[in-house]
Amino acid sequence: MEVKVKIADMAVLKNSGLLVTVGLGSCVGIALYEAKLKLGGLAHILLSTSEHLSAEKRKDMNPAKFADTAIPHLIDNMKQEGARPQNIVAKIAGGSQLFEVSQEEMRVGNRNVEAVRQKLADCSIPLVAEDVGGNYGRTMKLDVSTGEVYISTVGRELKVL
Amino acid sequence: MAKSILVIDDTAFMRTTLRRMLEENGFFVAGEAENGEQAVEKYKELKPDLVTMDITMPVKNGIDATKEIMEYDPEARIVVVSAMGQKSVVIDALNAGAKDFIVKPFRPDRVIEALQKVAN
Amino acid sequence: MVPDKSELTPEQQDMLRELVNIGIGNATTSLSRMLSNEKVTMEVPEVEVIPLQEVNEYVEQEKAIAAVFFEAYSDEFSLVLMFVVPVDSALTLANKVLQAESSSLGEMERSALMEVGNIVTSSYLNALSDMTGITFQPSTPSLAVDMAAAIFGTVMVTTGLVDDHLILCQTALETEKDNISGNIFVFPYQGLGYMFELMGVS
Repeated sequence: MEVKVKIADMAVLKNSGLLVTVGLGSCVGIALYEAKLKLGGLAHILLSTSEHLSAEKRKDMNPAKFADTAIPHLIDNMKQEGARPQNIVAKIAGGSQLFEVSQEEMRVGNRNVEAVRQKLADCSIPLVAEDVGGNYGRTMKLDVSTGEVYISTVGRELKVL
Repeated sequence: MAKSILVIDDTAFMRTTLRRMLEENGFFVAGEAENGEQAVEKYKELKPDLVTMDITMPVKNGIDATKEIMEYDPEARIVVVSAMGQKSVVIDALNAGAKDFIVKPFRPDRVIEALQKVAN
Repeated sequence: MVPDKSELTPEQQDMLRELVNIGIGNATTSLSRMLSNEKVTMEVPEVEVIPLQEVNEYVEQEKAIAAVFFEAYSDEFSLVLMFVVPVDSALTLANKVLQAESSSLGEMERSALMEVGNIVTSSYLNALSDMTGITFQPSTPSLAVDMAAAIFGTVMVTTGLVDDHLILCQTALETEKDNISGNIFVFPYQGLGYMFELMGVS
């Protein structure tokens, strides 16, 4: 069974099946896994922080858009399924630079990866594997029965994290 | 004697296309530049008879480069060759000192004609 | 940013279709000229408001495409323009323009694609500028060749088109003989209210 995680989206799956997100360019895919329960969570974030938003906007905002809100939210969703945060580990992918850009402010991919690393650390979730950077897009699949993450790209070999 | 030209465009493909076209029509391509800053440097170094100048380029755009080159050499003969054909852009380029403005995609004879006219 | 419009009235949709129409003729003429006057046909522009999350569903996600994009900024109205071709068309297009027979998209082929994309979308912008009297500042165009979903997602993130809904205008182009097909995408970015007023739509 494949559960699709779209852009600015997140989902949780237990026991068996794949959580899949396609099209990680500057975006970052965050896979969280609790091995004891065979419980996986996957989020596809766009931006690093929601700090610039007003308090009012934050209320209605989609938490999956930003690294700083998506990670705590995904952890909560997993806790609701019985996960214990101390047993959760993370694997991430994405944050690439598909277009050649000369201006630093265009390097969103890097900033996203940094923000994700930071937030995971803040939440005490160990980052056990990553496939980030470069100049190509990725598709990320989390197999919740094993916790393995498969990364596929155009024209390159499949990578397993 | 063949007129020397400095070709300025941020795309390698366009520089190659222009070079081929210009050489086929008896011009001597003295050099190339891929942004406005390089354009000014190369102009000072090579002192070409003519210049083809793109507008949208990284680091420094063609309008600013044109202004700087004209300041350095008021006799400079610059023909703008750009995809950006908005009226105000054309006016800005001519005000900056360009002698003509050709919108891409261009007909080769239009460019050659313009350059020959400006050269004489 | 575009006010988070989750829907457009029929008049507003018509206006956006017209916005695309205004420039498309110029864009297709330019493409045709670059292909040695090969006939290029265009389809009726489509205008849709889609939830941001659906942007990758809208395109054939894992399909390999070549895309050139840039932002056109003005105080009144700003937009993001994209020219997209599937990789097989991209190779045909590059070869035709380079008058070569390359079997892969190397540096020169990519450069040619970038320039074609730049010229086609700039031609669109030139016509729009003429019609509306607005002067746009374009950013330097960029090219990427990769899976569609990654490219679209990246363009959204890079240009800041990250509201919950996205207004997407696109038109398909096709050559008569060469089997080159492509799409031009126009994403209104800011100042849509101004445009509605200018074009007499409430």
